[in-house]
Amino acid sequence: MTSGISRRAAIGAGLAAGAAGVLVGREVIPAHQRRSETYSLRGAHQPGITTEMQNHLHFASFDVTTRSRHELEQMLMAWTVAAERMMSGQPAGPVGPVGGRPELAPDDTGEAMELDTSNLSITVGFGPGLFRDRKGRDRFGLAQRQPEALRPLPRFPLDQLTPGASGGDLCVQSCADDPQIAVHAVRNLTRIGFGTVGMRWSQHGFGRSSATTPGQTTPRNLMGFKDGTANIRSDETEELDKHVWVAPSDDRAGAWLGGGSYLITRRAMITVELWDRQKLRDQEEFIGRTKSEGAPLTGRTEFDEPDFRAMAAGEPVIPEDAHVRVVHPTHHGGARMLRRGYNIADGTNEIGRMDAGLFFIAFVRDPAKQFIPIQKAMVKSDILMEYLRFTQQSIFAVPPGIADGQSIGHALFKRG
Amino acid sequence: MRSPITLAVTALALSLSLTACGTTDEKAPGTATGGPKPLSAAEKAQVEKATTEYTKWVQDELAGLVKQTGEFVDAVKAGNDDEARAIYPNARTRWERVETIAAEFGDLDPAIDAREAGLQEGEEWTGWHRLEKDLWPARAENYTPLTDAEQAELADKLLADTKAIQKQGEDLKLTATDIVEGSQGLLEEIAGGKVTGEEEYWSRTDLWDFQANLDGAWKGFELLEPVIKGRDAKLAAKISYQFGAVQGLLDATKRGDEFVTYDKLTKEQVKAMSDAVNALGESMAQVSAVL
Repeated sequence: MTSGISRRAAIGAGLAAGAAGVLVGREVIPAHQRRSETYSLRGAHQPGITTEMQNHLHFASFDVTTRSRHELEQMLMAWTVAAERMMSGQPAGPVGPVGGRPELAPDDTGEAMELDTSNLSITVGFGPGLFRDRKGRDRFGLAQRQPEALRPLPRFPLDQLTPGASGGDLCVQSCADDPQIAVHAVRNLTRIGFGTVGMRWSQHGFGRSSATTPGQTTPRNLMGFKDGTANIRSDETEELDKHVWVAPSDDRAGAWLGGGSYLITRRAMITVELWDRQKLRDQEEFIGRTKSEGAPLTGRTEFDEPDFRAMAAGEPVIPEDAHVRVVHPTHHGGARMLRRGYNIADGTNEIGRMDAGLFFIAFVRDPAKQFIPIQKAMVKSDILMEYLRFTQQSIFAVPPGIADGQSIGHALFKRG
Repeated sequence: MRSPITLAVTALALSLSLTACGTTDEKAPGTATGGPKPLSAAEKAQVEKATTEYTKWVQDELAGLVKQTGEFVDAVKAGNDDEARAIYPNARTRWERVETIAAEFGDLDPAIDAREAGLQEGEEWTGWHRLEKDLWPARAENYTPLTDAEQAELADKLLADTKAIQKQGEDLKLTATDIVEGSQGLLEEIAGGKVTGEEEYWSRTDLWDFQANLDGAWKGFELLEPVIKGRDAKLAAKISYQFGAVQGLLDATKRGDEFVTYDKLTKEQVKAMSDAVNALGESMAQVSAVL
């Protein structure tokens, strides 16, 4: 199965980038002690970026099927209302799952009844296809506002992209600590969107593989390593401004995206059957960190900085092709990203192997500097590529938060 | 024959600027719990006219169904397989147009229209799809063709059951709700079995059924449109437009005058039709809120 695939071939951007650490164990919070925050689309930024990472994801990408800008704006208005209702623990519509007349279909699907918000966050993004069709034609009078950086990602070597499962005109990232809540949100927004948008692909994630707040423990990915150790955390205000939030002046066409960010997804299938029979020492050398603590091979604890110059017996302690070295900011002009990926296990493939891996999500200010070169470096030099198959990718511009009385994407759609 | 819906499309292009009334619109009619106003005298007259016409239309379709089923049965019994295959999708069109209404008559629906995949253990399989498999055995594994006697028996039973349905349709009494629910049901038929290629597993003639279901749903809507329009003009315009959108996609699958078989559709075509039918179905579901 893997014959003919070079070790350097497959790749997975940011997989476990700088991840690893002390075995602290997963957060297991009894249901009755769950925090239950209410997030909103109002404010400087959308929720679901620096928001403390929830444990479950339902991510959906949509094609816009209408030709009418008016219909599209109406739907975004309806999405704004429904998203805020659901994030505050209310049904998607004003009537609710059972409150209406029995001869009508309810305006909420009902599976969230009796459940709290589970910290639901809903994040909406705009893909390149919203601005121009495949032939480059302006679709909704928005082409002049398409940021230079919002272009379909390049095709990376060794990618095995599933046809029809990449890209999209709009996206919804729904995160919650209860998977039922995350699914409920996507399902109801999809229903509201019928006739205006159609779902293109979607992805569930069942375990966070990153940490976004200072207090949050670093979880493990399906390689068994801590993932997200070096992530940008919510309290690093300056770093967020430098690496995550787009400035209005970044792009002549994209002033509307100020306070927003670029969201990149890459679905990495891990060949777990192969990975699992690698020696522990080899696994640690592939990652460049210890499996227990997540410490760099040159350090003792999770948050020690790796020393890429350290040598032992004439060899670098952190090998040349170790993941942590290949993707480390010091080798990419200091570029960091805010990662918010999830572990995935989508059943079994046709030859009986687990279709499991990582749904990589990153938020960056400039994909051309903070993502594409790092992905290319992985394809070229990262030993982990031997255990990864990328099957999906997409990019979306996530607009900033909104003020009262506005709908999501207000800054993009407003006249003048 | 041009479908009635196709005619609507042209008229509908004019109403392109209609607004999307999302299901979360707080003021959307029918999302409130109060229920619609009772029918005025004028509306009652409109509904009366609609139910009378719809009933007659159903009866005409059933008469056509009996006639074409007879032709199909003759061809099967005469061993004219090519002719039987040519009649099959057209005769079934008559059935599929009124299926949700006719299926309510007694318990003949399973005998006429059961699919092999839906049979319970020990249940006898008769009707259209049994003969379909015999006429298009290409996808069947280790299939043993029916004998002439078995064919004749199945064919005769199909015709007899169809005649029984027609007879029960003679005393048909329909309400506006029956029509609305009939149309909604036909759209669900499309979304559930036609757009997925499940209905005509052997012959792959699902698009004929798709068109027929759409014809039936449109007929019901068209007759009630004056009433719906009077109560929610936006919703009526939106539904008209969405019927046109589905029909446009369906027309685009034709080669010449005929539909292609289901296996010739691209995934993109199927997805676009599925999305369009979902949109139309959601809008039709809102009709119950205004009537």
